[in-house]
Amino acid sequence: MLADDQLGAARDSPDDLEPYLRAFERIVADSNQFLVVATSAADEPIATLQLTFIPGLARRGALRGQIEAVRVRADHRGSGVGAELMAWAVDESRRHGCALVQLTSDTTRAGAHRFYERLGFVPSHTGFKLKL
Amino acid sequence: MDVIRRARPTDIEAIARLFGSPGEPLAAAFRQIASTPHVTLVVAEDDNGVAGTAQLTILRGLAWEGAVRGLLEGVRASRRGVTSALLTWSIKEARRRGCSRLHMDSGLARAELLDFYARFGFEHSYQGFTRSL
Repeated sequence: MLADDQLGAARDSPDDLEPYLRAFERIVADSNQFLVVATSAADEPIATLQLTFIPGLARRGALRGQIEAVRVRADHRGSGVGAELMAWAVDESRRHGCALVQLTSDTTRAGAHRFYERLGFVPSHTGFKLKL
Repeated sequence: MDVIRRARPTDIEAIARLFGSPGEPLAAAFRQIASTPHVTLVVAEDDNGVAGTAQLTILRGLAWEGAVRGLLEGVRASRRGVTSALLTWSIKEARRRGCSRLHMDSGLARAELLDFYARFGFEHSYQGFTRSL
């Protein structure tokens, strides 16, 4: 799902799983980061996202839920599973006491922006990137 | 010369002032930050005391072949030179911790800020979204 993506195609590949397996171990070991999948009736992963809880002093010391890497398998797009998974992330954030859920989306992903706005997200800030 | 160091509980009031919310009870949030290994809260100090703050979060994911990324948020400073010092520290620290990207969230940016961040190599490439709970 990561590789089968408009931006991921150039930077992700399922050929060598080693870097993904290493990264997976680190995510699982961190109690503030959750990598989840939605599964089909046949128990296959058809959508994924990652949720990270970030404490901070801004906004009256609000805990925030950060959603990243939202992907839906090509043959399940438009089925509502993406919205269901996002609803899970919002509920889970609320359960953990977050005052806010945040995400950033590449400026070229116009379809994704409409999707997030339909789910009640508002464009509220500007995201910058620096390659190190 | 500005010094960048990890924030201490005694810095809370000065940080609250930088966020425009003096007197805010932030001790619990501060403890939460202190006990979260992937989050580092720093302050910049000059001759007059705390002059700026920033928070660096290290994010791990599967995308980009499991790339480690830094997320820089909550940058507040009393003057532009302090912001520069905080950005320079964050870039160095993110690199030291193995990040291949540093993301930075800023309020809806003004043109003048875009130019300022561009001098550090930051590109405006994301739209940020939030939903209040």
